[in-house]
Amino acid sequence: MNFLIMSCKRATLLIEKNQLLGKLSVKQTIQLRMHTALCDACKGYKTQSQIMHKCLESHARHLHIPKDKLSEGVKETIIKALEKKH
Amino acid sequence: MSTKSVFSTESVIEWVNQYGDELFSWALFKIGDKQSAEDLVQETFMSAVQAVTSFEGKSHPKTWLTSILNNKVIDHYRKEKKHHSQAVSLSIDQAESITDTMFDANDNWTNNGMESLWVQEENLLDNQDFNVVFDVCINDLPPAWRLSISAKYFSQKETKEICQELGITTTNYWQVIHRSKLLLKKCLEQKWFSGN
Repeated sequence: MNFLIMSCKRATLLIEKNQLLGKLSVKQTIQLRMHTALCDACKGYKTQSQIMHKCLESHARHLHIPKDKLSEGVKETIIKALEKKH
Repeated sequence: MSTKSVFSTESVIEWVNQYGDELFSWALFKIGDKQSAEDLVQETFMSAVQAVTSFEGKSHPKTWLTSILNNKVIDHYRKEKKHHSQAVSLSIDQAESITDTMFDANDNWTNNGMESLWVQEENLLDNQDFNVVFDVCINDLPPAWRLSISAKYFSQKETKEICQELGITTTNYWQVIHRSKLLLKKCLEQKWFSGN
């Protein structure tokens, strides 16, 4: 039975992994299921983590990494500096 | 066992044209200041040219350059923080001790009884005010943690590549993600749920 018991810290780490990877090992899945069945705080954390996950995703959607260009002048400066080092 | 690098100064010069724009975009996104972003990209290439003979090409050159740039970005955050007397974000030590207090000696929750508050509000994600608070909480994260989170969410990269760019192991990476989420939870509970 011992292998089924894990701490809340471990359980919440697995919740995060599962969320981003979409998979856990069979053992981890069973462990986590057992834990959240008995632990209200971790069951709650699963929901909270999902809310934060969705928030982060929507922030990412609204905040695109700009497609900027390094100006040709700066590129030239860098290349000249590199050549000098050579 | 001497592995001769196939890369040289010429390679680095080529990379300026190949990856300069993308590195600059990432730096600008992380820093928001054009001049500083340009400086950091230049510094990245200067460091790259010094280290290029030891670069064995185990990762993609762009990944390798990004890892150098990420270190420069974190240094930049650190210097910036020194200039402002009020620290905007937490240090890693502070952040770790906060997340540590969320668990007891057996690594179980020190329960705060706020679970129900999270589910009481529907459409939390559509709430403008909540999103503003969420933004504040993201900015409270230690810069290095913020970088790990944004590498995951703002670029659709594989975990392995992100870890290479950040120069950390996957185990360490999951710990950072885990702790960041815990800190966000704590922050939201303090700044949102307990006040509403």
